[in-house]
Amino acid sequence: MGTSSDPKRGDSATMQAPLPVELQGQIGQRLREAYIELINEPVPDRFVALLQKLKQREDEQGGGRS
Amino acid sequence: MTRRDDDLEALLIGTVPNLRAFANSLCGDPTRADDLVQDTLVKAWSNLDGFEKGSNLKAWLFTILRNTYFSELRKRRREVEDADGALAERMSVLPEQHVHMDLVDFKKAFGSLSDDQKEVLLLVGAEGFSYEEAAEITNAAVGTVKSRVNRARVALNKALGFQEGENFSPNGEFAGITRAVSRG
Repeated sequence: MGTSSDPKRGDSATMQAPLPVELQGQIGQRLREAYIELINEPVPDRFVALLQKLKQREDEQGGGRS
Repeated sequence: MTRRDDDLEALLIGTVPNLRAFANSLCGDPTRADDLVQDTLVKAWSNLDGFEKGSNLKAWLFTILRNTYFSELRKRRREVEDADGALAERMSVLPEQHVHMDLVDFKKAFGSLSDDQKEVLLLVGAEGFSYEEAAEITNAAVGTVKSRVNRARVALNKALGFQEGENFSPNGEFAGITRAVSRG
């Protein structure tokens, strides 16, 4: 707990002692939970439309690049 | 590679959820994250010749995305001096309705990491890239990546106050699977 010393300061060559595996596991679990929640969000239509547009544009240009 | 594979479109679309999750976690701003993903797809499409067939498409896309993000960030930093200060709490912008308290705390703590730490932790810890792949994506030495991942974990642990042998969060909130498993 408590305020950490500034974690934003660079990555100097000094390697900090690795976190115990059990704690790594707890952090990893939270991270994956938070991340999976994001991955499970539905993909907005704009991305499907975008790729279709890119493909279409290329077909019109006979495979040429813009 | 001059001819597009028919399934390339499908492959690209298939990585969009991951690209969005990565971008969102990195910048904490859903609108900006989607713009980043869009830029990434456009760049990828127009640079497909630069992609070696048979190599890791996902890693290549992640490389494009993070390079785009960091070059934009550098540009912004030149314009606005304190761009960094606003990053801290943006993870909490994300939808929260089914989130447990400990996840809210986690997101907050994650938001306080540096961008360098965030990206490697996401690549290795969330996306499952190897340290070597993460090093390639971020254009850093493997040792640097390992050190950043470790620093990120140490910082998160400090912020969250996890203790060994104590499989629940310090405020007694639900801690999901870990706790259930530890019950004898």
